[in-house]
Amino acid sequence: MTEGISKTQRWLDLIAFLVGRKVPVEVDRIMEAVPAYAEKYTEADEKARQTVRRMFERDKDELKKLGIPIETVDLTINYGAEAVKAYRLSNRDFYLPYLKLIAPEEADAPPQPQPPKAGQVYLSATDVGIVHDALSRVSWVPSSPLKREADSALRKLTFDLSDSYRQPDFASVLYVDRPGAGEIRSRVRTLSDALLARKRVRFTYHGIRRGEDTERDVAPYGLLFQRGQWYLIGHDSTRDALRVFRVGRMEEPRANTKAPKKPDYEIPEGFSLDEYRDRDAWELGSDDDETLDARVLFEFPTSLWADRNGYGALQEELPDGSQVRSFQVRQVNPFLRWILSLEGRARIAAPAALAAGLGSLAREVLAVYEASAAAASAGAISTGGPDA
Amino acid sequence: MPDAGTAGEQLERILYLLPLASREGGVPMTEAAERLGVTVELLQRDLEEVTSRAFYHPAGGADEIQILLEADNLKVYSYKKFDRPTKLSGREMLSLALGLRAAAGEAEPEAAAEIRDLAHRIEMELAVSSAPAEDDLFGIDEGDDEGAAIRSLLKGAARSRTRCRLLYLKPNDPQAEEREVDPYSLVYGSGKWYVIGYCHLRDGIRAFRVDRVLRASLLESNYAVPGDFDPTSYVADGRVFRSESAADVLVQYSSAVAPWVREHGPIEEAGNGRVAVRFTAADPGWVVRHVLSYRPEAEVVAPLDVRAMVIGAASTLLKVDIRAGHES
Repeated sequence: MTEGISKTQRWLDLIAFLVGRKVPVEVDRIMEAVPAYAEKYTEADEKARQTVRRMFERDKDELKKLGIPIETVDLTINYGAEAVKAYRLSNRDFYLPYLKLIAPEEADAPPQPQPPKAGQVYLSATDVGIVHDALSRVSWVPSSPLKREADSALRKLTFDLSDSYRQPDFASVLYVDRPGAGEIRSRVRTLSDALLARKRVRFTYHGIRRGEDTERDVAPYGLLFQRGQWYLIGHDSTRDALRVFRVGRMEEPRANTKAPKKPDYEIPEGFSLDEYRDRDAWELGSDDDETLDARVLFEFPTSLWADRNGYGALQEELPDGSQVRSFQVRQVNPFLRWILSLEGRARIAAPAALAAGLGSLAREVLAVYEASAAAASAGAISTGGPDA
Repeated sequence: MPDAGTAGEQLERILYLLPLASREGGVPMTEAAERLGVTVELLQRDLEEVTSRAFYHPAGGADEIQILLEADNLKVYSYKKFDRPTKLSGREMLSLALGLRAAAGEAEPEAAAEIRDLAHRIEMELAVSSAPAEDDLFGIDEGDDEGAAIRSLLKGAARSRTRCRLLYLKPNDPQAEEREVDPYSLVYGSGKWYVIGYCHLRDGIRAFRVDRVLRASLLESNYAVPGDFDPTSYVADGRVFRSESAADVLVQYSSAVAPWVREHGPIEEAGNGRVAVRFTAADPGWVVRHVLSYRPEAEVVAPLDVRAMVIGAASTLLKVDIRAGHES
């Protein structure tokens, strides 16, 4: 009676049958030994046998994705007269080696035979700390598509260690999720699966500048978490260009489900996700865009903050501690907005046209407040403000 | 029948639970559930997948798994099978490689090289041999690269409960101030890092923006975190705010920027496509800077003193600056 055998049970049976065997096992023996296959395989019906073989192939693929690599081996039997496929799941490929923690003073000279004994790996306490931090970061970053895997990797890598290395450090580091983070997580997961399998994705994109919803068909090249948001970078076939999409503005991304094993596209050799990271809004744009060399005077002590955060390059330090710093500006508007937000503690020293632009913005801001104050004194503050 | 994802997750749990319970003395189910981040009931269902194999499997095989559940304690006898966790899967290695790459990106060159070596060693020895992890397809950029060393020191201090000395610059202060702080928690919210801790200068719990910490060093004294401290009580709508003395500021945005504002959290409709947001801010200066970044498209409606701060800041930019040599 095998009707009630679940997929998990079938996989367990297959693994239990194969793991640790010294010699590869012919496919017929697997079909006979794993109950879920055996029932259908022993029937005389060739079609049914083929169906079960395909089930085994699918199981093998799925198990590989779960980190259980069943190796295929070509065997010849009957004194070389017949070639058959056989399968193997070696202990070495399946089981995690023992992790031994070495004391910090031994870290430079681990007490081990060289090379390390098979099945045993030495890690220093520092290594474990770094691994812990790395996996915690991937697990906790809001809407992380790899949270489950990062948690699972940490469980495995701390399996042999004492509880103090295992305990997650929730109290001392906290990542705050934005409202709606769960929905973003499921979109990022869909996109990352598509990215790893090189499958195209379709989604409705809410273009916020034009206020339009458009259908997009994109080959994902990379996923970037930056400034608290996830972005997809990919080739948009509807625009025939590389585009950056904010995942929060997508609706229901759907990956191409046809030919799941066959990639839809290749990521071009020269593509680098790093080019999209850590750029301020005024640095965005193409390399062909004209850049403006702007000089900004940061008053003391805001100059210390600019220096601490690497804003611009120091050109001159004045006796009162103020600093003139230079910026290469591609996008003027975001740059002016940023300077404006510094409440007058930074001002543009050059070029004059840019300084005049900042002055105009300041006047526009004042005009808004004057208008609403006037409206308020006329008893109508509620209709004042922007757009009024 | 459960779908493939569910079966995969279940198999992963089982292949971790069996070795955990194979250790001497077994494992309490509550502990196993906590480690796996699931309920005890779910683990019991997972176990049934293993035990029910006995119904259809030929009995008495040498590789059969014996499972003993006594009260809460689970023991597994598996005859050298399933007594270790499995190696890291491709995705598990990917997540580790991604985290290590982000760490290397923030570290000094020598430390970065060591992190890369560690990643390579783990990939070779602890992960299943397959294609290399494609961690370069993903990026986690938590910002403040320049402050990585300060952040790392503060994280370490929060873990070891070590008091710190910070040189902290509040935006409106005439100079940076030395403060002794017990860093209870590092918080990442809306793309920025904060440290929430006990400030000995102010004699209370405060939130500090890490990008305004100009210098940080460890002191030789330890502290205890109060039992009732909860970092999430300093968070609202995905934003971190500063202290218990927070005030409400009402900001109105024009229809031109309303779509962007809507993306960031709860809003109130203000007519004609405009929207309004009520901010809880201990430091009204934060709201002033925020509003100014929207140029004339955002306006502080109330309170009046915060309106005055915006007007003051904009007016400053129109004053003649002798050093800059012109009206800016």
